[in-house]
Amino acid sequence: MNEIEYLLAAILVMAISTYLTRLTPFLMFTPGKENAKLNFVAKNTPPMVMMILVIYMLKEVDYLSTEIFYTLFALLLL
Amino acid sequence: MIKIALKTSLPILFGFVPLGIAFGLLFQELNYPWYFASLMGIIVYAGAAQFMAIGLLAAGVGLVEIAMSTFLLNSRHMFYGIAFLESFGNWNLRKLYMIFGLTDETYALMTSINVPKGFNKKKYFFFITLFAQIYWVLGCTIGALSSEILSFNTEGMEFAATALFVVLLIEQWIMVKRLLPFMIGFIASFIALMFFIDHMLIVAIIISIGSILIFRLINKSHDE
Repeated sequence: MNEIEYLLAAILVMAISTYLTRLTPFLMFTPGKENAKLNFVAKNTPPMVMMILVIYMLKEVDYLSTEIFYTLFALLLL
Repeated sequence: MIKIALKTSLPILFGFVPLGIAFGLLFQELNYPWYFASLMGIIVYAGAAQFMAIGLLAAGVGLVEIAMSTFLLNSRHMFYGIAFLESFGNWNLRKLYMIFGLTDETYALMTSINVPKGFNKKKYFFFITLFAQIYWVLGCTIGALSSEILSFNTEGMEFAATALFVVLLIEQWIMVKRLLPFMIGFIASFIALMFFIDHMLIVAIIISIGSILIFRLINKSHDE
C-alpha cells in the first residue's frame, strides 16, 4: 500500500466510522408517540448536552493565551 | 426558505471556517496534496476526529486503530439522532444526508431554533445541514491551500464555537425553562472532568441521560 492508498483507505474508514455513530439511533429506534421514555430522553438531552459542550469548550480554552480575551469578549457581547 | 436557512446557519460559519482553516493548515504538514483535506471535509465531516486523524496519519497507525479511535471519539453522536427521529421524516437520500451532517454544531443549532411557521421542517433542516458542511469544506480547503502561500494564525479561534454553544444554551433555557436538565448536565460534566478527562464528552452525556432517567423513574413512583 503506497502513501496515497493508505490515506484514501484511512479517510474511507473514518467516514464509515463517523457515519455509523450518527446513524445508530435512527436504526435502533422507530419514531412514534407511543414511546414515552424515548421522547422524554429526546426532549431532555439538548439542554444537558449544551451545558456539557459549553463546559467542554471552556475547559479547552488556553487561559494563558490571547484566546481567553477572545472568549471573554465574545461572552460579554452576548 | 433557503435565504432564512442561510441566515440561521451563519453562527456555524463563524465556528467552522476558522476551525476548518486550522485543520487544513495542520493537515498540510503531512505533505499530501491539498485536495485531500477537502475530501476529508466532504466525506468524513467530523471536526475533532479530523484533527485526531492528522496525528494518527503522521504516525502511520493501522486502519483498524483509525476506525476504532474515530468511532470512540464520535460516539457522542449516537445520542444526537434521538432528537430527530421524527423530524427527519421518512427514509430517503435527504434523510441519509441529514444524518451524515449531524455534528455538534448542527445538532446544537437545530435543537435550539424554532422552525418558522409555514416552513417544511425537513427541508429547512436539510439546508442548514448543507450550508454548515459547505462552511466546513470551505475552511478545510482554504487552510490547506493557503498553507503554502500565507501563514495564518488561527490560534484561539475556538472562541467562536464557545460563543455559539453559550448562545444555544441560553436558547435552550428559554425553550425548556426547567432547571433539572441543566443541573444534571453541569454536575455530570464535572464528574466526567474529574474522573474521565480524556473522554469527558461521552462520559458526561451517558451520566446525564442515566441520571435524568432515574429522576423520571422516581417522579413516576411518586405519582402512583
